Amino acid sequence: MSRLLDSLPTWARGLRARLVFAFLAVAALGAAAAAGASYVSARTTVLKYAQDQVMNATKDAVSQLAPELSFPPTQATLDQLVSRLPDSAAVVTYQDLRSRPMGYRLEDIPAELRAAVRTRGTLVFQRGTSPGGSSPMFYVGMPVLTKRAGGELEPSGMEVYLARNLGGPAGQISDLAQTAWQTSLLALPLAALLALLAARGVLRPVRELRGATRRLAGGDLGARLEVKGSDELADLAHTFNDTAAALDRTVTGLQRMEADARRFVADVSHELRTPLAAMTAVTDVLDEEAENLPEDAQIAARLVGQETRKLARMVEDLIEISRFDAGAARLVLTEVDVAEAVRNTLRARGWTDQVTTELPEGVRVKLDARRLDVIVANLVGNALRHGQPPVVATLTASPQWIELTVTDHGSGLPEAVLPQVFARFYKADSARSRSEGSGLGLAIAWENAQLHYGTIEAANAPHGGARFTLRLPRLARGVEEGVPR
Amino acid sequence: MRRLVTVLLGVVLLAGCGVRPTPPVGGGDAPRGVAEGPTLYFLRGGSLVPVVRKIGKLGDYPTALRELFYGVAEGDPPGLTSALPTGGFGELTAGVTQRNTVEVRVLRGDGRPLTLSGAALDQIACTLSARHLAADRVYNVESVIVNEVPRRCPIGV
Repeated sequence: MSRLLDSLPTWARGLRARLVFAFLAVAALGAAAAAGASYVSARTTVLKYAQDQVMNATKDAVSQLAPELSFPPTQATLDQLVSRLPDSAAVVTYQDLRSRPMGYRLEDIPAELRAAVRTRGTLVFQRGTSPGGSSPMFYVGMPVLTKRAGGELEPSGMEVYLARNLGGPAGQISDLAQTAWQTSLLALPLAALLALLAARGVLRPVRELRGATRRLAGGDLGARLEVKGSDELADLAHTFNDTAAALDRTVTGLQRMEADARRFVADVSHELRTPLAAMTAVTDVLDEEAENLPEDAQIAARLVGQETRKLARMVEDLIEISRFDAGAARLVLTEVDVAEAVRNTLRARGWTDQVTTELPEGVRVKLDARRLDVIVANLVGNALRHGQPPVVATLTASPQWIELTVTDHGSGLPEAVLPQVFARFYKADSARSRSEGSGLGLAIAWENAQLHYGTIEAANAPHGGARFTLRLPRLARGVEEGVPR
Repeated sequence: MRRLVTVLLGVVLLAGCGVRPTPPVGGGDAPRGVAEGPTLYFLRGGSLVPVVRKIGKLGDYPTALRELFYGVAEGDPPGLTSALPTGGFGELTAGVTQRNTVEVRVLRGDGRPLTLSGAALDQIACTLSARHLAADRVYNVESVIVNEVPRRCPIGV
């Protein structure tokens, strides 16, 4: 059955087409059965009427004439009997005598029938085709019986045969057949119309369901179906609505929880900022005064100063990333010479000596200079901290993109780490759980690149070191300025 | 599915179209009524004896009765007698009045009903019953009414 379905053309595989086909098939079968049955019964009636008329009329006539027939008969007796039969197209035989042919001869009567008349001794009929073979014929044969004194009835030797063309009744029957077929054909368009109506009724809810499912898949969690009636499709609509409501509740809850979590982080970071500022000031003083302290206190003071600065940087990073999460980050676009910007970043951090640069001059792009600085500082700082020198920064430019790669010559990143490098607080080296970084640097760099509609990719260079590639589009072409993220 | 198609095809083929030929089929009783003559019943030693009077055809009821009133003829078997009065009746009618009753009226020359003996009535009843069976098929004669006197043939005819 499914193979049959697959072999159909696409338009015929739809539910509507299948429903209509099934409906039509049932209607056609029903109409054909009804037409066939009525045709068969009508044919039987018509034939029986025609045949009975012929047989009874002849039999009655023979019965009436027989007592006055001279017996044994002469040729004249046979001719006289034939001439007085209602149809005259009969043949009467007695031993070797034959009545004068009137229309049909004895040879036209099937030999089978004559044999049956002789052996059975009753009235016998048979249908066949005319000697020409075209029109249906009806043949009747009957012996004329005689009764001996005190004995049984027995054939007298006289036999009456007649042939009748059934062309008339056959025509009537074929008219009946034609009418029957025409009537059943008339039923088909009606059935098709009904099938289409029924298919529409059944398929409308299915279509609505499809639309609602698409809206739901597209993110419209409020998509619901109107439930009509109480059939299986209404059940399905109910289930869909329940599912959509459950999904809506879950997603809304998750969104709220996520927003709560982010707000919490942002709030905590903000709250930490002020005491940290005070602590930083104090540790700065402590650092300056460290030389005057005993040695133990000196170490303690430096440790406190270090950790406090680290904490302050982490809080700054957290605040930065909360801004991204809240969607509050905005680009401040200015025309920037990229080579100059990168050099400035390196100079500001004191990294100029440790980094080899290949920076072609004159690559001017509209971008947010502060964010580019954050990205470059993070990538280069990362390379200096975790990789081996020399660290190489290379800038290339195409009409659509600028590409800045930062490559170190360390052992590179394990393959398993690459996809998670930009995740927050992800540490590539689990043994060194307390690194100098906040664990947010690459995440922030990535967010900044995203803000520029750009990307950062992490990979390993052919010689083994880690290679980070920043790709930024030239915003003036294609992306409008200041489009909020 | 395939079985359904087969059945439908079979039905269509069986039903066929148009007028289909048949083998010879029985169509009921054959007509009867030809005979060399009516069967008449005479007496021999008190019992009824059938005799076919060869007149060349079966003939109707009055014919059979007239032959019976005629009496034993030359070609008949020897030793037969008739209880019917010879030489005489004025008027004779006979025919089927109901579907299994033959009614006969025999009048004398003066118009009065002819008086008949029991044996004569038997002869008439049997002759007319035989005539009835020889041609008017379907029903046996229940009774023969001769001058309003019912009579049944006492033997099988």
